Amino acid sequence: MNALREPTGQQRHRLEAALERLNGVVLGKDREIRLAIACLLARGHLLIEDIPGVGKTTLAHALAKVLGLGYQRIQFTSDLLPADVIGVSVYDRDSGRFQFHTGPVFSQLVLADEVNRATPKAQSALLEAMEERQVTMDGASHPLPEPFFVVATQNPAYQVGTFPLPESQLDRFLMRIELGYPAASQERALLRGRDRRDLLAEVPAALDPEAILELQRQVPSVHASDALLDYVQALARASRDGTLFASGLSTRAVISLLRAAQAWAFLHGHAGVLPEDLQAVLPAVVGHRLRPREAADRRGPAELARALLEAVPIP
Amino acid sequence: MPRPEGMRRLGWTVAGLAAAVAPHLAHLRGWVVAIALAVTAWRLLAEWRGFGLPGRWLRTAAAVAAGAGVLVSYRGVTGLDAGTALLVLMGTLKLLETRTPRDHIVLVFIGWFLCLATFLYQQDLWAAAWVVPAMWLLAAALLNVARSGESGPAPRPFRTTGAMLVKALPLALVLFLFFPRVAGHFWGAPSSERASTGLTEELSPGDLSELTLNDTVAFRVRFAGEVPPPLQRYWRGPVLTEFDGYTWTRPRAQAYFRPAVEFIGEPVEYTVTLEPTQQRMLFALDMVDRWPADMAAQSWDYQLWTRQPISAVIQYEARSYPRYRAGAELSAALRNRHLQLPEGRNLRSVELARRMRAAADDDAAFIADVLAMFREQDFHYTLTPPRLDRNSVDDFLFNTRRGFCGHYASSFTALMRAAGVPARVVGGYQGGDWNPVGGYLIVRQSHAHAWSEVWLAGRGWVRVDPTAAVAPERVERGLDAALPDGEPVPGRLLRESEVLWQARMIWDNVNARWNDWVVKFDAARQERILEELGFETPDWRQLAWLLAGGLGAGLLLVSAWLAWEYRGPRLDPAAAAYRRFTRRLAKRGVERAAHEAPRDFLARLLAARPDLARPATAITEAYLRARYAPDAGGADLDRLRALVRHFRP
Repeated sequence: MNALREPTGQQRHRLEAALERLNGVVLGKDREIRLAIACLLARGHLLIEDIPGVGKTTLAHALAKVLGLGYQRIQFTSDLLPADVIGVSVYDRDSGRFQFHTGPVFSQLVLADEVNRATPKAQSALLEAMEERQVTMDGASHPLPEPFFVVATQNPAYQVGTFPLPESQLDRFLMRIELGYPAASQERALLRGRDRRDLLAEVPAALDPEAILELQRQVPSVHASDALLDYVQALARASRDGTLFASGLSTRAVISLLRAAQAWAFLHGHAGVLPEDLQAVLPAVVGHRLRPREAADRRGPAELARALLEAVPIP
Repeated sequence: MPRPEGMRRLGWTVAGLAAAVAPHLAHLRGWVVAIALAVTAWRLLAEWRGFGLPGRWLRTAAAVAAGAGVLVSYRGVTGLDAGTALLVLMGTLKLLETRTPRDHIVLVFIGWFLCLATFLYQQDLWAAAWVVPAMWLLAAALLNVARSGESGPAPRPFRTTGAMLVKALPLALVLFLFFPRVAGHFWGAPSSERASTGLTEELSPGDLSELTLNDTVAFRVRFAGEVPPPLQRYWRGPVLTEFDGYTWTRPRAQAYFRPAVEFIGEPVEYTVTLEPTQQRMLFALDMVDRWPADMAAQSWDYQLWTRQPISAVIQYEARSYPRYRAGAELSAALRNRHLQLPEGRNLRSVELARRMRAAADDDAAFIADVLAMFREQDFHYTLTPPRLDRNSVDDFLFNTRRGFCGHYASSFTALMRAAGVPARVVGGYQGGDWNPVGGYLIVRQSHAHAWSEVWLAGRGWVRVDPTAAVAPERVERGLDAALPDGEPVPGRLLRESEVLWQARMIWDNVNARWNDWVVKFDAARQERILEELGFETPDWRQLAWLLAGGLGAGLLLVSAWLAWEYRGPRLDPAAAAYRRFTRRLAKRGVERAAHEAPRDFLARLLAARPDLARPATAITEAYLRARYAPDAGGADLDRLRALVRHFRP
């Protein structure tokens, strides 16, 4: 049944190798790892939200390593300035001109650690770069490298000293995932195993930038049947009619949802996007874009996404 | 509650209420309208500016004061006018306590009741054309109240409620057709204040000129056979026998024996639909032979009188003979009554009549001489004659010589009586506009006419129309032709434009049908429909059955409509096959949730029924392939269908 049209056997082999190696470093987070890869394949950016110390940074680092991407980490702090992210123009005495010194954002995989600790000004410097995939400084555009993948982590909003990302900024992230505590057996393996940092140093790359760009190119052509598009639109309609949520999914969110589902189907070797592919990515894609109708509603993104999913019959 | 929400809801309710009150404005007293306007304006301002509403005591006092006002102003609270005024006042005062949705609902219902009350006053097309949209608006207001728990305005309130009203139409039609009708005047509560238009029971010179400018319809006539020529279209109205020298009236004493009538030749049969007159006269062609006996009685002067004033549209069938001999014998009492003239008035005329009679051979020759005098001397037909003094006949015959039917009939009759020929004035209508669109005759107030009847030995009562001597066109071709250019005639412009005339005739036809089919839809017509439906002796039992059956059928129709409206999208064939699969499983206790992805369902199913692993997996994969794969084709669908067909959980 699973007609493997795309990816090809070779690509599939490399993808599975990458997944396997990532699972060897980050234990018991298979689903989150797959979502992260799907996010990358859909040319989106990833937001990981959780308490400190559950492996957010490790995951980001492992992704860079296994995918063979150039890696930079920016630790967001309250005194971080935009120039610390995108770079700075410096006057060069020899040439008598301003010279642009690229910042850490000029990297294939950027880990923006604790992005909500920085001021909105520094945040928006990063988020603009994410959206435009280029940095404009003194009237000159500097394209960012390809592929360009931002993994931002943030602490839950209730922690002290945070500037929560506004909704419009959240919308820039294709997916938002949580890692959560590991299961007892995985935690035991972690306790028994070697230090993850040492482990990371030894993990060989399974993919390279060219291969990733090729994969990214194939994702939008994964077949989405009319029945599947009906389902996507039914979900959008249900989110917008005002009975479930205060505000519905934007057109960008709907397109993102389809892209993510295509990437997921591609990753799993499905010939066409299946409802289950859509359902698999739905919580990560729409969770952070939905607002409950009542302010007092304490449901989190995952519960909101679940409510939407259960409200809409598959056409 | 946020302010704009409340303002919007109040605005809808007030608009609906205003639409319901509007048709009543004409017959509400000024102070009622003023209070209603003031209270409504204050209430809107209060909502806008956020004033508090008046307290319980103030509201109670206002309600009591309004009730007392009606009691004093209308001398009671019963009756149509007082009831309507009370309803309008209480409805507006209710605005002062619109806090909960329930208050708004009460107001909408008051509005509907006022809409209904409009038909107690008038039942014409205009009333219906206003009331139906008003009820629609009220329904839209109700929709807004019903949505008050939800945020935002109701989406497309007119569309939604319009669709609801259309769905109610079949039921309304069944109720209209088969709900048992009360024979008699349900609507007959006459209003004290309505002015009557039309002929009255007296005639002074100049009386009819105002009426002849009135273009409204008096009645419509549908003939069963040939339509009589204009010269025979004399619609008999009040017969006036008392003359005081200026005004003709009916005698108070009516205790005379009605002289027998001998009918000659072929009769004319017709149906008259009479607009309300607030009078008791029925109009019929001369000489009427048959009419609904339960509706009217004929007096000694061949006039038809009803028991109650006619306050609603009525319809009656009648038969008349254009040729007849009425009252071959005249009793002495009647002869005296028809020779009566006031003492000492119109002396010159009396003198003239006696002179002319002496010169003539007999009564008939004398009549011919008088008519010849009108025709040959300098008499003119006009709707704008000079006023006459109290010796009106003298003044007219010797001075002004300008007048219309009333003047001629009055003078002629007086001359006859002076010369000893029994005579009387007959009022009524003459002529009528033929409506070729509907095939019926329209008789308007402007066709009001007066003529004379003289009694000749051996011939009985003979109609003489002195107007015809002066202006024969009036009788043959109508008012238009008889009047000189430049005199105001109702609708002359309309008649001159072919298109306008045609449009007018079509519009009148619509009104006639409205009268026939809606206003006059009574027990008799209902019975006729039952007969046409095949019931031989219709009675209330059949009616009840039809009503129940019709309502049932109407409800079925509406249900089918609603089912169609809420039908799901047409199911994809692969989805239909998969649904057969899941339904079979549901019967075995494994139910698929509507949002459950096929493979998730499969996993759950296999946990419960591992024995189904092979067929269920095959069906699920075949379905996913047929529905979602890029190259799915007919073969995939056939395969899925075959699998489902053989699936026996």
